[in-house]
Amino acid sequence: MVNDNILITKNVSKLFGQLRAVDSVDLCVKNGEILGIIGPNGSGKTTLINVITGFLRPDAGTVWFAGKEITGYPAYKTARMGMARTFQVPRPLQGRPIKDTVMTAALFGSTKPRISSVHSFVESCLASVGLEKKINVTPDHLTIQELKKLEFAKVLATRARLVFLDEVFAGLRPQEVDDMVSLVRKIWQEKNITFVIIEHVMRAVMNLAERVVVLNAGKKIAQGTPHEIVNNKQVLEVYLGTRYVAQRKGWGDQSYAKGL
Amino acid sequence: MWPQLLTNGLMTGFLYGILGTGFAIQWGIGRIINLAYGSFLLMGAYVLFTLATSFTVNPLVLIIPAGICGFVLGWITYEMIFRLAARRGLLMTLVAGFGLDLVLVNIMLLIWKADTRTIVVYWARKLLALGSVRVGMHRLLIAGAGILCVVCLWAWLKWSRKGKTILALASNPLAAEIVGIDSRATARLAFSLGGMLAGIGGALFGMVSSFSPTITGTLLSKVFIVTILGGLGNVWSSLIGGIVLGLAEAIGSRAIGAAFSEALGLMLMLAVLVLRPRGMLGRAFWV
Amino acid sequence: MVENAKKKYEHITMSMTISLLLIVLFVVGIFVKGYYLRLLTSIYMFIVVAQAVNLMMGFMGYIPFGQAAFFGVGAYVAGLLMNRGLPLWLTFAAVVMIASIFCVVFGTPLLRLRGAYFAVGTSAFSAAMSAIALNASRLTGGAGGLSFPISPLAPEVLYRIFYYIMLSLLVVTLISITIISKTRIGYAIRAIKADEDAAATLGINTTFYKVLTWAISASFTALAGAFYGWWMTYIHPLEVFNINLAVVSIVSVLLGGSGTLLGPIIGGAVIQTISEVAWARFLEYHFLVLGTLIILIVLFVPQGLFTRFWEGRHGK
Repeated sequence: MVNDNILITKNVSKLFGQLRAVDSVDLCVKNGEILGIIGPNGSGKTTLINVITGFLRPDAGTVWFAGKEITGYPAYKTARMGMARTFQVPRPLQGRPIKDTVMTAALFGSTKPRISSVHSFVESCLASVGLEKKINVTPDHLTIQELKKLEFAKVLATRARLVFLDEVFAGLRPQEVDDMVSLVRKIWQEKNITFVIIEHVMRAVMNLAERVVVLNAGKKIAQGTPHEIVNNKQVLEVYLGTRYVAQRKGWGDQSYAKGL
Repeated sequence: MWPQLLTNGLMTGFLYGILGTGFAIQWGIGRIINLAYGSFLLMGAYVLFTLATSFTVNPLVLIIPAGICGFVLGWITYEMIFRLAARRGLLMTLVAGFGLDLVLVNIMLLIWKADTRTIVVYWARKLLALGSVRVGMHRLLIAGAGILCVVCLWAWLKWSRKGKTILALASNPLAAEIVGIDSRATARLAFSLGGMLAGIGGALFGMVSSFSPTITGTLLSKVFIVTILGGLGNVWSSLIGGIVLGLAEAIGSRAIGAAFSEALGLMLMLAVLVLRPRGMLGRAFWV
Repeated sequence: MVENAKKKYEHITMSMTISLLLIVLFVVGIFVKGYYLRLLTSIYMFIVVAQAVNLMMGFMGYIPFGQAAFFGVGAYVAGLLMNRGLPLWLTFAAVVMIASIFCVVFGTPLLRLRGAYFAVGTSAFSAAMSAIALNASRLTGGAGGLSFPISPLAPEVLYRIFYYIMLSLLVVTLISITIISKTRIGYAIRAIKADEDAAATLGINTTFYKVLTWAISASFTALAGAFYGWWMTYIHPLEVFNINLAVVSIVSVLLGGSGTLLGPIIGGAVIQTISEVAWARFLEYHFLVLGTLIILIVLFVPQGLFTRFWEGRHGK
């Protein structure tokens, strides 16, 4: 088990009543990579993350993190072990300066520092994402892009080794997406964090992910490099419909990828 | 012995249920947890008392004016207090209700003094015997009157225009606004209806039990238990919750002594809160 | 940077003001007499409970309508143990321990409830305690109440001693809450209030911190209850388990401004004074006055006097 897989899920399922939100998903995340998870709305991406990070308990299957089984661990435990996630809708601590949000993340993340030593660390986290000037501002004064960067700073402050970015590029304009992509890449290179990116924004996935996993209706239907995925017939059928794919000739070319 | 015990519990349970229905309507539809509800109930009882001692009319008829007073009380307090409080959030609503309760209790103390009162319904004092069980006729009549009122309410909610708007508001406030329902007026109506039921319930209570201004807390407590047990599902949930409570108290008083049956009800409520907060009949208000 | 300096300056003036006030109160205790001595003592006790409620409500966002349960438990435990001749320090240690055990046992299920349900659940808890105390006559004296051992000291001396005891409890409470708000616990609690689920993803064991905070809040309230019983030498279930205590504390916190240290002090002092004056002067209208005051506070000053004042001076 002591290989370079930082996260493994085997056969993980989550049911809501009769609905199989996540259906026997096997996932391997290599240490230090950037993995993309894509899939249509409702394919179970966020539910999968919720199960892995401990927000929800799986109904079946096992989850392993850095060689240790963590199936069913609650959210705070996985956070302490070094897993972090951002939320689709940013969740900063409302009404308090963003410094407090990052500080809380730093105090309770995977390390347990003393309060006195944490201040400069918090400032550096905010500086990494470019928010150092807004350190004492409350979240209601930030733009959506800044709020997403704050989510990022939070995650950095927990000193996590594995980070789930849940639709962090949603709602950003193309220029902002590119900014965020550079930011993610910079941090990835500097801090040697493993990223799992759950996304709809193909521009980001194509530019960041080395490998991509595709989910549909709770099941994993494909995995491979971004280009392989984008030309995978089943994936295209899921996104564009079987009839469209059947009609298109030459779907094996790169034209779809180029358009992004 | 057991049939008598259970019948008593059932009768008491019916009363509890009727008492609680107005509260459930204020909470489930008006979306206001009215901590002054105990006083609302007692106001109904006192109105009935005053009218019954002034006029020689069948007290059962007098529950109508009691209900009207309750309606008006609900209307006024909603407009002046609860509407604003609700906008400021749950905590404010609870605190405002508490303050209102203090005010109403004080008013009752000033007008009617602290003596315990009771309304005696002479003509219904007969004891009806059904098999081995004895039930006071007046209790049956009261239960019947109460159920009749709830049935009328149910029918009105289901079939009248205003009633349907109230239900629409209850199930989906946003959608209700979009289709042009005046949510403020409708909520006020719902709350006042709850007040009306409180007036009626309190009046019926006064015919069965003695009362004084100091018992608002106990009444509120019972009403809470009944509401949590039954859930906020529909007009009947409180009645069911009430029956459960009545039976539980009857059985409990036999098993562990009358004294602890009060705590029993509370424990039951706590258990339901923790294990099945929706109560027995679920949350969304439907008829 | 200027902002940081300003904030520090404000903190220092606040602590200096409070410390100064406390010193003044200590000195005043030597001279004040009779009615005012007792009034001040009761105000201190009330502020302790208000601070405990503020810890739950203002810091953590859970509104403890059942706070009276701990007040009563503290009073009864103290009474029962004192009547059996237990040394004082042991009695009070037991009070704290028992209150904390209650929190651990009942907190885990109750603290899972949110919002209205927590309020209802805790007030049911408090009412149940009241009912049990009323009925367990052999143990608690039931409706007859419980008497405490009476001290042989003269009343004037005794009341002055209690003045300082309550004041000391208040000081300890204030210091403890200040320490809590500045350490990790404080951050955890505030994160729970802001967004409980997000707090969990940051690595905060929310159940642990919720129970811990409730236990701290309960301990201070129980001690206040214990001292109250010791002071009054007689307690009755309907008095010490009265839901009034919780609600009026909540209102005091709201009035003064929740989440701050000074808020409960101001709010508690104002409300308790008005309550006492109303009781003394307009006994018949006492509830009316209190109730109307509460309603007015809800309608017109929901964010607290202190916050208004603060914003007025410094701008937003």
